[in-house]
Amino acid sequence: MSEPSLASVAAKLGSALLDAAWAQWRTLGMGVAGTKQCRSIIDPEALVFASLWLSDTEPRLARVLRMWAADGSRLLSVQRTRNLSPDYSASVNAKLGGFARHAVDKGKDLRWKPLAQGREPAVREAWKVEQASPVLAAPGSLLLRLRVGMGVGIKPDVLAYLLGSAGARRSISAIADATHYYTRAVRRTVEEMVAGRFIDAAATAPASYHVRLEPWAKVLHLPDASPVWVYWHELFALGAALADAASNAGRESRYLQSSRARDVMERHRLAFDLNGVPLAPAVDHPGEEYLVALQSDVVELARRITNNFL
Amino acid sequence: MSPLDIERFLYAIGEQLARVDARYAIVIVGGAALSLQRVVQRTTNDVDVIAIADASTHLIRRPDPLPDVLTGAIARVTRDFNLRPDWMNTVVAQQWRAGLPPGFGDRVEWRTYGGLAVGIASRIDLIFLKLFAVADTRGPDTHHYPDLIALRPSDPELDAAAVWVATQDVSPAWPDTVRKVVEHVRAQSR
Repeated sequence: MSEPSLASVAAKLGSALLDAAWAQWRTLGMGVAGTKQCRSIIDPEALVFASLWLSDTEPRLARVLRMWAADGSRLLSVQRTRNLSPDYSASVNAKLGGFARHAVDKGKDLRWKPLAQGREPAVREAWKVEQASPVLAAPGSLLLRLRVGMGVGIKPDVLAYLLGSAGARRSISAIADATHYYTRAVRRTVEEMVAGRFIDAAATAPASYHVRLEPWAKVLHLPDASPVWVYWHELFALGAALADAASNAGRESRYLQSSRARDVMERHRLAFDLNGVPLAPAVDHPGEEYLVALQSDVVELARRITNNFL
Repeated sequence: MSPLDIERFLYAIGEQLARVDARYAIVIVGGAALSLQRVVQRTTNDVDVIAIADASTHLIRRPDPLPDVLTGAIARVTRDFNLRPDWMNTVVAQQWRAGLPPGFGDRVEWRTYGGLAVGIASRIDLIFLKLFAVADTRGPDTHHYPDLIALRPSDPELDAAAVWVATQDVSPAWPDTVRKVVEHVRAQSR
């Protein structure tokens, strides 16, 4: 087997994440052929960013994004989109402007107007306008279902995260890290949800919060194996960052590629940690040896994405 | 660090510099210089940077502080190879206060590692600096002493080094200390 390069590592993860993106759009009824669905909870803002990133190599995603901007943008949180944007490159964020413009023009969703200014269009104007209504029946669309029922905001996202945690207790900081809203806003929201008896508080240190799964499963008609929370944003952001690094590395030596890989993993190791996938300590693999270790870790991550998260 | 390790890490710094279109030149002494000159085969813990030089003219000057870009490249290599934070340091550059051996900069042997030019102090300058280091530490139980022996200084070279080392300390006992060290080295070298 040939020695791994940063490009081969990035391609391995990119391929798994592309399959994940298609499975998620398919689950949301965006007219995507195939059968693979997403069993875990779809993070819609992360899916938009991932599709903007992947649309360079997979132009069909631009078509789906265009449909989603017109028909599904109202289910997205503009604030959360802003919060996630620093984790993606300038080129991805430039494409977000085109998505936002389409959401304003075709989706009549004026919330996106501040993001729609001065950015390049995401898709070629010559493309035929298509329509598709989001389908929210599948368990993976739980977060979007809750937004439909409760309104777009922090509350449905917190509830989705706690439901996806299978009744486990979560601290405020864990909830904020998962949902990518500001900690202060999450704390206020969680306290309101406890007061409203949507969720339960436990007198732990720090305080933790959880949901009773059974009554919620009945209310929401969830299957016995309710969908789990996967940190999709962290996964997609890692994939985009590795792809960028590989692109910038060009024909650099394997040592320099490994150095770039370390840069990426210093910023994005949460993609492994939060999703419970082991990551070899970088210090145990000096110089270019790190590419071999990272490839092994990425192969396992890709396997989990394909077999466990979808 | 073995001689191969040292070369690997210096080249890694050079690659990091070349990646950002930067070129720097440093001058090293001590165990790393001896290793690269194949004078000794022992491992060394650090690379002593005594000077930085103009990348084109190789005109040397004090290295502290090192330029930010060079410091950044060293930091990346430190991280990438899990090295001690001070594996490349400029502590030895304090020698500039009392002065370097006359003509030091003219005798430096230059090697290129990507964007990093590394000047290795000449054998005679290493004899000067090692004799000073031996005299400045107590007794022969130091790695400086075997390093000095390994340099196989001739009598005229030891005489010249002793004249320079004698100027490095104004204490009354210093000339006698230097003389005793020189005698010891001569006896050992026979």
